[in-house]
Amino acid sequence: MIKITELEKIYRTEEVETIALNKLSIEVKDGEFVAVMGPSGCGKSTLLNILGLLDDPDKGSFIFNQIEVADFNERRRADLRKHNIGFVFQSFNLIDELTVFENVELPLIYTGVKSADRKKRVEEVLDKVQIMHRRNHYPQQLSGGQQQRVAVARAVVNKPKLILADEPTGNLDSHNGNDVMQLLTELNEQGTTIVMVTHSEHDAGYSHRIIRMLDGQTVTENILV
Amino acid sequence: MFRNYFRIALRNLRKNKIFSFINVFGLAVGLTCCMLIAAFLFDELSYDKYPEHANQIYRLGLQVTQNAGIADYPDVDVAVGAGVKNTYPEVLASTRINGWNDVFIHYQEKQFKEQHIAFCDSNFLQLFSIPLIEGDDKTALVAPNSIVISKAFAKKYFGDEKALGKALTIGRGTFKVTGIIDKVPDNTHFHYDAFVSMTSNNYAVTGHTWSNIGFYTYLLLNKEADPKKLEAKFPELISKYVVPEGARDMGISLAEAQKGVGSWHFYLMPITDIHLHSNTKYELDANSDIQYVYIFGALAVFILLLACVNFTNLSTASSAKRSREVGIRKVLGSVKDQLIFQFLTESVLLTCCAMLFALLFVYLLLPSFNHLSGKNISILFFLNYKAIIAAVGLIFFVGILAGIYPAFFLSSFQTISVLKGASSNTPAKRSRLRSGLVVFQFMISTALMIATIVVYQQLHFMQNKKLGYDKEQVLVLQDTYGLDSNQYSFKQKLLSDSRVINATISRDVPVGRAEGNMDGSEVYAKENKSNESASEIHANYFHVDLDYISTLGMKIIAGRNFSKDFHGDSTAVVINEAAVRDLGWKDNKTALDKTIISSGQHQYNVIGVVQDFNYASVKQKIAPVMMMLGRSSGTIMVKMKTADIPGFLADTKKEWNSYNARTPFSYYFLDDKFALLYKAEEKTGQIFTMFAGIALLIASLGLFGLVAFTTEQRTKEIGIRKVLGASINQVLVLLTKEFLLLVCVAFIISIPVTWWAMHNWLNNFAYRINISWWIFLVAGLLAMLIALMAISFLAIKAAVANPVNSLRTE
Ligand SMILES: Nc1ncnc2c1ncn2[C@@H]1O[C@H](COP(=O)(O)OP(=O)(O)O)[C@@H](O)[C@H]1O
Ligand SMILES: [Mg+2]
Repeated sequence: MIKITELEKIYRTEEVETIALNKLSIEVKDGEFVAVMGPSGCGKSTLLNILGLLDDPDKGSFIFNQIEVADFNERRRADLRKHNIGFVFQSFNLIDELTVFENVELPLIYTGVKSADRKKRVEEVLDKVQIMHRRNHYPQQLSGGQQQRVAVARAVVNKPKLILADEPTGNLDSHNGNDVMQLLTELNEQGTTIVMVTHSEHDAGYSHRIIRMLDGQTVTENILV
Repeated sequence: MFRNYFRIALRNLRKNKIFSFINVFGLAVGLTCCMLIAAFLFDELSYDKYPEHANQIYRLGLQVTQNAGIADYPDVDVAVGAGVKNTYPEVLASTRINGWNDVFIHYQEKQFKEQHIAFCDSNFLQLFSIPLIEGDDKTALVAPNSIVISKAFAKKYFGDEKALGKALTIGRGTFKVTGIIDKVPDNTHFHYDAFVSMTSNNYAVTGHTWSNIGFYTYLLLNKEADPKKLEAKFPELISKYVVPEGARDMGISLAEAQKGVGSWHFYLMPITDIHLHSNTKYELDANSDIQYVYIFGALAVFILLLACVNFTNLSTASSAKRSREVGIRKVLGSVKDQLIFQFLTESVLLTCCAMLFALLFVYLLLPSFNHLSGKNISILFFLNYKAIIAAVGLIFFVGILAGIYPAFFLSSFQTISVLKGASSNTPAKRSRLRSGLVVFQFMISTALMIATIVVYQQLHFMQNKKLGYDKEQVLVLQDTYGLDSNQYSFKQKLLSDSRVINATISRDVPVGRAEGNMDGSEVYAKENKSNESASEIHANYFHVDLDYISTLGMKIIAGRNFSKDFHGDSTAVVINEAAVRDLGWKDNKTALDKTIISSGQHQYNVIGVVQDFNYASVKQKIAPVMMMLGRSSGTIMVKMKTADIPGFLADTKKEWNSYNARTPFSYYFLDDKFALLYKAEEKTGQIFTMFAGIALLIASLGLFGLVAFTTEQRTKEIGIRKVLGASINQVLVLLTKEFLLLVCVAFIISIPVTWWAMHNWLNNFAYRINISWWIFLVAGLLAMLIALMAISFLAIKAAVANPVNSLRTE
């Protein structure tokens, strides 16, 4: 599903030049569940952003679903993204002004799904993450765990092939964290490819393979299953 | 405590640069408008208040009810003032003035034409508290052939020589300078540079009639006197003086005469009301109108409100930023009142800042403002202690007005929820007030734009209306009576020039004639003799020669022009279509060969009908005209056909000089004079443009600020939406939709309001445009476009930003 080779990403500010990704090569197969670990600032989020087509690399090749996408323009990336990729963030990133239902509905609106269909599909995923009873609440009225479940629901509502999760349990206690990991595992079992950044060895234990990074490069890979 | 508030306020100002700028600049513009207009209004309201007994002085006027409505004269006949004074003890004094227009005055070799001199009674200047700086107040204007002049006037004729005691030649008489005044105050309803003793005018001394007009008469009443009660006694004077006079003049019985003057009404107008409330056709000087005082006052208030709205809106919008501070202060023991006080201090300080800029703006703009308003306001007006107190009052008023809502809003945040970091504005209730205020701002702006377009359209319409004569390439030579009997040979000489198409001798130039200085009479058609009073109309007389109609390109649409082949043409008249209609003839043909009788019992025979032509302003309907031959000299109008006008002028002047005229060669062009006619409307147009621009500027600034806040507040949301697949266009729509909707609502509300207001304004014009729908559309689109520019600058920036960055800041 994903094959990146010799990928480089350099951030330039007035004074410093940060090499966030340094000739990084990684491959992720269809249906895999990969955890990315490493110290703060080593480039995990940068990697995820590029994999998620939110950002473009400076050099190297990125093949997504057999297509070279490294040189895609923004519109094409956005198009590919909204149909194929779901995101889960550490800080949930729900929109405060929208209800739970409306938040989850958003990706469907942007991919042009009809309103009746939308309702059905949103209710389906909300049911799956067990938050149906809170569908008309606003994010601030929910606990952190509940919010992250909504975020997961939003990430999967479009049935993406790939889910990218950046420290999804980072803001949660262990109980709520386990719930979310359980959800991700289920999704993976149903065939969704998952790439997850985490600091927790425990959470990384849910994955098939751990990629350890340092200064924009992979150091080791542990295969768990 | 106070210093702490002060410091926080300053820091906030510095931290939020855009918003501080919008607030301070917006308020400064608002305050500038407000102060300039206040100065203008102050001046308007100060008219004729300077005489010592201003509150006891009344102008005596005459109203006559006629078929066509009430004729209102601000002047009365020669004997009325003295008659009233002698009859009623509560009248302490009476005084008269009347203008003496277009006279040539010379001193040695210097000669000027004067428009602003007048005859007045010896007590006139004293009554109006205009002191002499040289000469004796009491006696200066007693003797015949005395003249009191202003300093500037003296300088013009005598240079640095001492003017008092010198002799000026006016027409054929010699006048001795017996007094010098500084000048007539600007805020007076009359403006003369020189005053000639009334006794120089023999008729003013010996005349004893009551039924004419011509003398502007003022009465000084006793302090206790009630003008209404005095007015109520005037009918007895009418019976005593006017009726016998009428009976004698018209050869009718006293009873009939009494019936004739039943509609006469002498009335008193306080001189302090004249400038703003008197709008007769015969004022001594163009007056203003109380309507303008209201309109400008309203505009000043509105513009200031718009600026206050920006403050209110931006402060509440940015409240989230301040909410932590509020929470912490509350935890530390601050109570709500203290917080309100703190925030009000801030807004007052900000207004103070704005006021400093406003004073600078006022200083810079004052010359242009004076030019536009025709006033002569000095910067000192803003620096006297009353103005300063008013300005300080204004600062507090505006500061509190703008800050009161935000102060209550901010200080009422709940400590706990604020500190917990929960967003203070629960999403479900976005501020209705803020939306309402934006609507208000854009409503005012759009309304002003619509008004501006309507004013300019009407102006354009007036300037391009078919006039019924051709004003292009017509040279008007003035004061040709100075040629005496050579006038006719001069005209012949002109006609022999190949560059001259035609020329006519007639004082009656057909541009901008005011009812007040046209010859005319009440007339009726002979066949209606039995019903004379009902069918009587007022006709303006044009005294013309054979070439008048052809020189000015007027059109005879029935009958014929005057001709030297017909000997009876001395009693012949050519009338206009309005006269045909008003005299009750069913069409132009019918009018031919009919007889018209004037109030002096002269009979005129209609030989032709000329197409209606606009000789007054298009504000008035074209009134009936009777053109008759002769008895008018003094102006020659020349229709030219030349590209080299300066050359033609030079040759004409040379020719003129060879005739040894008594008057200097002076001229103007007919189309230039026409252009002057609509100065007032042009000014109105400029003023509206200015206000519309300012209002739109302030409103757009406010909108810009609001968008800045919302986009800032929504960066995260925008990022999330983009991650989830929103396109740039979708984000743009999201950000602008709401604001554009508000502007739309504002536009819709402004339509009926302005339609009504402009419809009323247009009613001032007899010939006017229809307000067409596209005017609204243009104004609406323009407002929308400008709003869109204000909005889109930041919205586009927010929409194209990479979401990675906005989400990373978490
Ligand atoms: N937009 C950016 N501008 C400049 N430097 C950046 C930017 N994003 C990330 N970096 C830098 O790139 C490096 C990798 O960052 P990141 O991928 O966020 O690390 P991680 O997620 O592993 O903590 C860091 O040194 C970070 O400071
Ligand atoms: Mg990171």
